[in-house]
Amino acid sequence: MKKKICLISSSGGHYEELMMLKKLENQFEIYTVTEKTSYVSDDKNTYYLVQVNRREKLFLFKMVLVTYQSLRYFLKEKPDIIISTGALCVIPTFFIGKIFNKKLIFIESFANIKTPTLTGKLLYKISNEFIIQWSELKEYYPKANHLGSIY
Amino acid sequence: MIFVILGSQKFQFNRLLKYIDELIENKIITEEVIVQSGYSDYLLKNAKSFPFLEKNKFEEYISESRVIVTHGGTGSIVSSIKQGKKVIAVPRKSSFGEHVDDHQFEITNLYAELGYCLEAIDFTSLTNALNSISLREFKKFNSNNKYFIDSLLTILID
Repeated sequence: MKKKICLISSSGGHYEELMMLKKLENQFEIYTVTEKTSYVSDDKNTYYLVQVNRREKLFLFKMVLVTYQSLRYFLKEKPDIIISTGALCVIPTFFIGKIFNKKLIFIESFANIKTPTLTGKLLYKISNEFIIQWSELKEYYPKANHLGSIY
Repeated sequence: MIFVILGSQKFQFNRLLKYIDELIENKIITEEVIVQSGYSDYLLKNAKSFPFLEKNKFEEYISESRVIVTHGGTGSIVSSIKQGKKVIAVPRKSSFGEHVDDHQFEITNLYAELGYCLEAIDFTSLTNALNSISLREFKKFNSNNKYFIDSLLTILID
């Protein structure tokens, strides 16, 4: 039986990068979790989280909502592996995955060449595998795997 | 046709839209301009705009364009240069409330340096970029996706 992967990211570039991993569906069962935006069509096997960023006034309240949604989707799908390209909204899913002892793989953003993302810094310690696209980030993430561009 | 891409983040980038309006008014841009305006609320006087576009339509506009003027989002930049288009990337500035931080400068800087596109940070540099871009040739984008996926599979199967 194929193992199940949860592909999770926020919207925009993070989602574009996540979609570059579609080929994994040849060998794994995949479902996707991403942010609900005003333009997404309902893709198959996709769950939606409330869109959030750290500069919004209601950010903490939204994160509580995202945590609730994340737990619901996680318990429904029960993934074996969680792979993410960031950002903020994926943090609850990673912690939930950690508690349930799932394999966690974080891919640091293509957009961050010299400075790590906030989400990356937070999730580096709990990820089983941490992937960087730019070698300049090795100094911040010494145990990371440098694979180059996801594009 | 010039296709202007502002991306999908919940931040305005009215500054770039105002530049575009002014460039059309001053006749520095004389061809058709289509704008994907995202969450910006500035109303363009001189160009057609859509807040968001379906993926297929988005790729179609990229394909039909002569030049792309895009915010510094990697998805927009990479989609455009993958289609071999001439791109001017304009990074969002957090002090203008255009994004959470200034990370877009990293990619626009590097990609301009590497020869994949031009970078424009203000009205003057955008004007110069538009005036010079027809004469510029850019480096072809080579995909690393297969290597990335193969390496990731090795990690997953472990």
